[in-house]
Amino acid sequence: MSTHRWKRTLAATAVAGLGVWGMSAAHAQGSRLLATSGVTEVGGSTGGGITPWAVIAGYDTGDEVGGSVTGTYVTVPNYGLTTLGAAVGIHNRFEISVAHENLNVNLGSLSSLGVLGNQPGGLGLIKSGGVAPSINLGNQTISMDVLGLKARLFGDVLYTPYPQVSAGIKYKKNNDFNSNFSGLGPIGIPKFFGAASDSGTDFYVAATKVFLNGIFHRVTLVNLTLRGTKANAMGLLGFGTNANNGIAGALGTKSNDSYHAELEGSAAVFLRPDVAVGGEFRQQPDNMKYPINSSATAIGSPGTMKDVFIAYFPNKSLSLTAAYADLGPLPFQASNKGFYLSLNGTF
Amino acid sequence: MKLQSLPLARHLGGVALTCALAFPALAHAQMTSGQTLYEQLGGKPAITKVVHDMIVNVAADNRINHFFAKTNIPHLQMELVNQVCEATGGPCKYTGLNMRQAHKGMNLRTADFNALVEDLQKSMDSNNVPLGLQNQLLAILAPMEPHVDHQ
Repeated sequence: MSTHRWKRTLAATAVAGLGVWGMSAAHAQGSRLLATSGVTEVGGSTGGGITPWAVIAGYDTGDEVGGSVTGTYVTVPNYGLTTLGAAVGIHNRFEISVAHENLNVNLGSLSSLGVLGNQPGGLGLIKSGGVAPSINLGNQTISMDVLGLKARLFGDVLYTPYPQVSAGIKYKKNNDFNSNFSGLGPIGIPKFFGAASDSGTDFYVAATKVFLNGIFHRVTLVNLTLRGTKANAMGLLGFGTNANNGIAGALGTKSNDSYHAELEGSAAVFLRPDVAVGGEFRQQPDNMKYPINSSATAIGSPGTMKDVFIAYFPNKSLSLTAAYADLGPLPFQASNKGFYLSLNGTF
Repeated sequence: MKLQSLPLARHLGGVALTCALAFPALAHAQMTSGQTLYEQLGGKPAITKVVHDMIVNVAADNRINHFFAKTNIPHLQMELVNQVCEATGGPCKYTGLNMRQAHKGMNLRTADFNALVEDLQKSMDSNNVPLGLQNQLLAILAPMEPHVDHQ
């Protein structure tokens, strides 16, 4: 512990993405420079808002242990995503992270729910006697748990001319794959839209580099992540697709249980040592087809998530990230744009 | 004696010798401003003030001040000023040891280097060095870290 003031920052690992609201406290602080802890992505790993970075959690250097606690809230019309996560960094070499995600789906206000029913243009999937389209299904929740492991392979975001490179895995378990959401039986929303599995494992490699004398002589961070995944909407809509599950066949979804290579990227510029602005993107597999709007045939895919963000690091214990995020298409809604707020505590 | 006691200081000085990586940044600064970074920083008087205040900060910094307990401070300041002066394109010549030699056997950690960087930033802030110039100087010094720590 120390009474030193942590003045300005150098580097930055910072920032990123989707919105969040969280909490955390901190006591002893490690010796890395301000903002080199990054923030925490929605899957619990240290990174930007929606992508994991090569950075290891906390401000610890080679001889210390550090970590972070994060809460994030993303809200778009009819959907809300809340994430609580924690990560521990060991000797700036390994990171263990956990996250619990809750996606709130306001089916009651989705006027397009009729797409499933018998009205003109409907899919006729929900018969009268079952759950009629006129019945308000209310708020539904899909929750998911994520366990992540990350290892720094080589490099240092600040001090080596080449990027810091890390490899990681994420095991994800969707808890509502079989939850009875409609009265139709043990078919949860992920399975209903044709997901093949309730769990999956992502593999990724991330390269992060901080340029101290970057754009406009400002500290500039660039990250690229390559991910192998089967996840639909990060796993909130399950993993892979099976044409025999739910309404997949009716929507034209084909069975696909193979890994997809997807690219993710982040860039951030530190306007001040404690304030960064930037943007991110994250590609996603497009196996799953969704009903969108009121057309039974208008079908979307998860598409690419994007965000622009501003992050503030008042000290080494705390960071606050606000973002405007585009989650890509989700069931019933082609466009899902909204705000992301995240509070990150680092120790 | 000085070699053992000057390590961090000598590192800063060794920048010019050890960091070819620094020079693209330097060249960039020259292209955009027409002035060397040395000139933009205010020349030798301004660099001397920043280095002096950094040393004052280090002396009060319990994380790393013990490394300098036996240091000849005036000599340290002279070496550092010459090192920064030369590295930023000024008319000086650093004549100390290179960074690896200067820190051999000290078992410095990345944490120690980061503490020194913070003390330097603090000095540049208190001397109102514009952020863009701070970042250019730090970009020149940062590549020394692998040559300073864990020697």
